[in-house]
Amino acid sequence: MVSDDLEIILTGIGKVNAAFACGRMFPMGLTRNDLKADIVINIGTCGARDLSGLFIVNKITDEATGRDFYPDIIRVSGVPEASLVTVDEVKTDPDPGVLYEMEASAIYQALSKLISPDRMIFLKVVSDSGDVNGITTEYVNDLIKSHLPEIKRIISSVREGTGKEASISNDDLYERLYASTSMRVHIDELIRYASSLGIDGRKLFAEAGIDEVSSRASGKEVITRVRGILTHLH
Amino acid sequence: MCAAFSHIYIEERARSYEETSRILSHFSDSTKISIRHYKDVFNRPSQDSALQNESKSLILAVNDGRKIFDAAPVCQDFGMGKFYYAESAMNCVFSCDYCFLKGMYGTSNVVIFVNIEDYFEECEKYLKDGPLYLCASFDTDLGALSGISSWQSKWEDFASSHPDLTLELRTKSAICEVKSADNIIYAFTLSPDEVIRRYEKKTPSLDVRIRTVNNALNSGANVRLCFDPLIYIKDYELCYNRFADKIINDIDLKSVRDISVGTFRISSDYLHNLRRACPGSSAVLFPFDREEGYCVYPKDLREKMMGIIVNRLENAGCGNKLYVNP
Ligand code: SF4
Repeated sequence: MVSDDLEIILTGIGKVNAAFACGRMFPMGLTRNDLKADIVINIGTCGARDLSGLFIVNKITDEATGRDFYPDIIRVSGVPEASLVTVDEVKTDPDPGVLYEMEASAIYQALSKLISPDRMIFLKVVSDSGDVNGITTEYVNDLIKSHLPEIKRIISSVREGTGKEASISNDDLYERLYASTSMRVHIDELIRYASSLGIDGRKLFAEAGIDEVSSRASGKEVITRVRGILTHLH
Repeated sequence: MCAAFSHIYIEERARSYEETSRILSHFSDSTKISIRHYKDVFNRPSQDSALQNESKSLILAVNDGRKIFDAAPVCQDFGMGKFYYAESAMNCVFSCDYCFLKGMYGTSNVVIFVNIEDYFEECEKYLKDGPLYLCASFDTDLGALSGISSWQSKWEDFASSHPDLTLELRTKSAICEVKSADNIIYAFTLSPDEVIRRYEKKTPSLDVRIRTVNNALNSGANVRLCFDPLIYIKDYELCYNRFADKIINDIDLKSVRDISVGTFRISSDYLHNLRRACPGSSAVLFPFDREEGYCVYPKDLREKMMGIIVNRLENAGCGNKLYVNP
């Protein structure tokens, strides 16, 4: 954790390491709903024949399987886009106009059932044109550092456009209305509908006689009254 | 209308089609991405259709699967017994909160299939068995795409040379050109401005739609008016009565071919997706009744809403033109 809402994970090189890192980041049992406010940004270097600088990836091809994956570029603007091929071994003769690296397809596949394609952002800095001899950790560090202002700008713009949804609990209403599971669904639905109309749904429940409820049957009557009010507004 | 698409995904096999070049010529600034199959983009899991709605992408593809389908029983058949629809595009450049497409597809991106000739071929096969009633603007609004795609006019030309085909082109757009032909029906969906402003995003105002209807009538086209779906809003009685006044005053209803009226209804299977796509919209958050697999307004409310429009139209002498959806 580098801050209370930002975690950095080093994947290491290659698809196996990348998939393993994703597993560490989001352990088994988490659902799409648990992660709906999370964004994953994969930052790394790549090879390319005739390109230089920082790119956001709009298409990932896994060379080994031939499968294609498409992150949605909606949250980031003003960064040049490119397509990318994930390879198992260093590509010494890259095709022009394409980025080559070794992790992105594994990350996309590992996360695509949990994270929406707009929340997977792949940022790649071109480090070489296929000849990786002489590329040192220091060189890579300096290269990424030289793009840090852009990367930071992207992270802050992405952060601004997201945020955990405030969820209001209706637990007290459930309790006071002796609500069964299906009654809870109705209560949530009515509260959400009222809120979309700018009406305080909890107040409606108070006005509909929640204080007099002494059984599940009278709880149901209150729900029916609130529903009646909301569906016949004049 | 010419929509803006930030990204255009193009199937490799779609590149050689004339329609692809025509469409791409409108979008020199969009990012173009080659794809193998449209489903790789359109059917991705867990897409955020609400966010995509803010910045739609376009997919140009070749449909090598089925192209013409039977419509669901809940669709009005206008006394034709059975009706079919052609899926020459999927999704819409407009963005009505209540649109069933948002419930049906997990994405807001728009697909245009560029191999229209294959659709005509399939149509001709159906026509061998007798007359065909076909809606060509069902999983999209073809009129709204007419600024970039030639499909609406291609369908019109095809219908002109196939009298056994009755073609319905449904739209909320301000289409400029219509064809006067017995077997082409332009179906215009009209709503009160209060509903348009709140729930029918990016669509033309009621005044513009009425002007479009009148232009079509003046050109001698077959016009169908659709007051469907009627959407419940606060003060709906006042709002729909004012709306009826305007329609009766501004449109020569005697010249209209027929009129359909129906309240909002949607398959229960689609409501969850629809609510995800429009998280704050009261049009879809309404606590609907469930009846035979569909989410509908409570019966008394349905009847009141329908009653307003039906009574006003009957009083205006249009009773014999009305098709009422239950
Ligand atoms: S115009 Fe029709 S197809 Fe388009 S979004 Fe609205 S309801 Fe859907």
